[in-house]
Amino acid sequence: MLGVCPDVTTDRPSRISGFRVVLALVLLVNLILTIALITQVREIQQRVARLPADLATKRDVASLRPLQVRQIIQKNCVECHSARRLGVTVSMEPTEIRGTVERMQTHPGANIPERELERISASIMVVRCARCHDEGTLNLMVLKTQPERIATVRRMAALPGSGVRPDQVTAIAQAFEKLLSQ
Amino acid sequence: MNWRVRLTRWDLILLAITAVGVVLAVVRYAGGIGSVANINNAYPWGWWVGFGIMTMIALGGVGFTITLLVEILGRHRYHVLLRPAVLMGLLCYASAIVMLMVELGRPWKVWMILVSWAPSAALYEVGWCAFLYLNVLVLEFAQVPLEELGWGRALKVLRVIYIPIMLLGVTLSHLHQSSLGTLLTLIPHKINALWWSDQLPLIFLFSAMMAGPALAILEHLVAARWLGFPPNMDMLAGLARIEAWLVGLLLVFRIGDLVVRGAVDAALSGTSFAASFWVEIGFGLLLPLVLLMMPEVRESRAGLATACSLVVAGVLLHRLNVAVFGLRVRHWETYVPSLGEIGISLGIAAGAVFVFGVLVRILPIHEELPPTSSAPESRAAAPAAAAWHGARGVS
Amino acid sequence: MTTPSAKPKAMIQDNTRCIGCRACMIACKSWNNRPADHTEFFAGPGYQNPVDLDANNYTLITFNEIVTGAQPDWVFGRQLCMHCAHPACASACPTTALTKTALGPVVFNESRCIGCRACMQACPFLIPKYDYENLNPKIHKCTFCADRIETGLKPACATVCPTAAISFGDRDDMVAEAKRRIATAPGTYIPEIYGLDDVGGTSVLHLSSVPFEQIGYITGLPKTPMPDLTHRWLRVTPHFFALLYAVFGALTWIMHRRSSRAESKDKDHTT
Repeated sequence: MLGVCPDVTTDRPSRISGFRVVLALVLLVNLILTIALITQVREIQQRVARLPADLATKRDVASLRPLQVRQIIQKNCVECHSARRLGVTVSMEPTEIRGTVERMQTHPGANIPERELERISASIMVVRCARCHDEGTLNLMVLKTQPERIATVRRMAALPGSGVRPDQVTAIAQAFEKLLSQ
Repeated sequence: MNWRVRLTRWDLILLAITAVGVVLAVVRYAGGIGSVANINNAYPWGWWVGFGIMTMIALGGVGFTITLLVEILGRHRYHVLLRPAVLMGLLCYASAIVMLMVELGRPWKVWMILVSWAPSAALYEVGWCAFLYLNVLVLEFAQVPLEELGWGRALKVLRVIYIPIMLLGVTLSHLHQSSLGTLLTLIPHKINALWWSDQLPLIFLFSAMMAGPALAILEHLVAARWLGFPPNMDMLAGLARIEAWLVGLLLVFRIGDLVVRGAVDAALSGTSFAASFWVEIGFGLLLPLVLLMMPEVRESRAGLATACSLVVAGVLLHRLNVAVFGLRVRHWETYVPSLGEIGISLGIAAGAVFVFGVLVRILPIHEELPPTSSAPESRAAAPAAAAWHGARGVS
Repeated sequence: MTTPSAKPKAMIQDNTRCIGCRACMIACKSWNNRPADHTEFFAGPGYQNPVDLDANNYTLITFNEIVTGAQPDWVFGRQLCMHCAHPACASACPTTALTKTALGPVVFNESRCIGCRACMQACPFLIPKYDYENLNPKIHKCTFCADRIETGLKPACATVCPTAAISFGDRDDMVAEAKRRIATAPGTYIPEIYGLDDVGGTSVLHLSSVPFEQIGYITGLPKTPMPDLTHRWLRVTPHFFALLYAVFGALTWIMHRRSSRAESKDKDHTT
């Protein structure tokens, strides 16, 4: 039987169309990629849906480590004289502020501890920023590095009407750093 | 039985490759694995396991696949493929075992598996099943030479036990083909997400079943050209349609598995893993599927040969990806198969092809069989065994 | 010496106390008769030498430069066999050459090893190593000094560590001790015990001051034993076998009844 049987494939098979192969292949790949894309989109949708409704802002993060300027001043100064008296400090030089607080120390009943001196002076130093900024904005300073803080204050000094002189920039920036180092 | 075989040019080339493999194997035994192979502590399994063992066993699935199709599902239209398929299965498994003897650190102790009790180890099950299955294949195939030699009594015994051992063989194949996959489910943290799956046993089993008909078709076409008989294109076209279904189902399974495991982003990333994955899927599943779905391809020799070669190559790529390439290791580790590794594995494969070539010329492996066997012994023993008879009855 | 307790043992590796002296590596090599090797300095991270565990080095100190605060600093880690409660290596070995003992160590019986290296693939901590250039090769890994602890001694590394970074005792005691250290010095330790319940629990508990992935440890491992992954497939093997055999047998029978009925029909028609 080997080699004796008539050839069963008498008619020539039709030509294989390369175009049809490529077309079918492209369609199939397309189908797979579409499925892949759909799964990816669904996954992203699920991930986004699982995000917390309230995302934390910079202020939320900064408020984790507040400067506590208000609390320091409230605790050490406002008891004896009203906060209005502090208004005069916005035009004081750093040495003047320090001198004033030291004088307050000598007053009987003031109870200003030695170690708090730096912090109180620093708090009073930054009060002048309240001319334009609120407490939350000031608190954003805790997220910056010291060089960034210096640059920020310098920028404020360049603004007209800020009340900050260029030669005061370093002292103000250092005041922020002192408030953070506690 | 024609013992005289004229060795052709191809035979001599195959023998030469085998000889190179033998020489390299001697070096391996004389100098240790490290003297010929690049496998290291980060990649304990390399080309030898990926190609020489895992792919060979997957391709050996042609034996159980065609047996399942012809003997169990009763599709006797394909009976002419049965003998070559069983012989190929036998030689593939024999090759895998020979490769194992080179690959193991202490091959002289391999019998330890047979005297151990380690049911929790996938390799234990693979070892036992492969050992039993090799015996089954030998018993199944032995009918052919025994028939030629006219050893009637032995032949009668083999025919009586044929159905039970044939069933055993097909069942064992299912077990160990899937267990090779089970073995790799143990390392999800090591295999890239593109290839690890908790369904690896099924993926391994289905890809072995897919490789079967492809290899059978290829063999029929090559043997037809080499031995000079006209290939039965109608039958091949029918088998190619079945193969198209198998490829399509495996493709759906693989992609579906990828989606379910949430590993699609790994496939869309720009890594070399993703590239290898797409090459494997594209050339091993997509392109063959497209080709096999077209009737003009199924009826053409070149078309079938191309499509089936791609399927076989895809299975090889898959095994290599899962067991070697897809491994995550420490960043300073690397592995590239050495020439020695490739040489030995090719030598074993060439040896198997050479033996196949010799056997098909001295035994009636490709003979056309009569539609039904009228030999009374055959029907008494088992109707299915009729498929194994040559045109002559029992002497 | 009092009779050693038969309860399972464990070891604490406290990386905050490790000074990177590598005495443990030397003691280990000495006890296990491993030869010295030629290594390449600076082949890996920093002063880590050798780069990885190998056939001659069963434990390794990892050198890691970690930036804590303003400056980088050395933080050391240690690689060694974790002697898991449910070892993946033992479950993968087809000849039971690796077994988990009651006292804790996962021991290697070299007479049973065929060199298939399945344990190397299976281990989630990448511990077992092979000596490929040997003609009679075998697997190499830390033995937990099983022979020493059976007689009540401590493992070689624990004995020789100068800073008591390595503690050894009953596992319950070691777990309690590790938890106590974290609780009493929270700033020193990160609140994680590596090996406590990773892959179902191990016999080596690591403590660290920085996250473990920064000091060369493999992290992200499941808390369930690795062998569970193969067990759920392998345990149905006998059922699978019986079912398939029955189904295939039934199919064969059905198909051949059909074809022999068709045959006899043909015969009736032709006669």
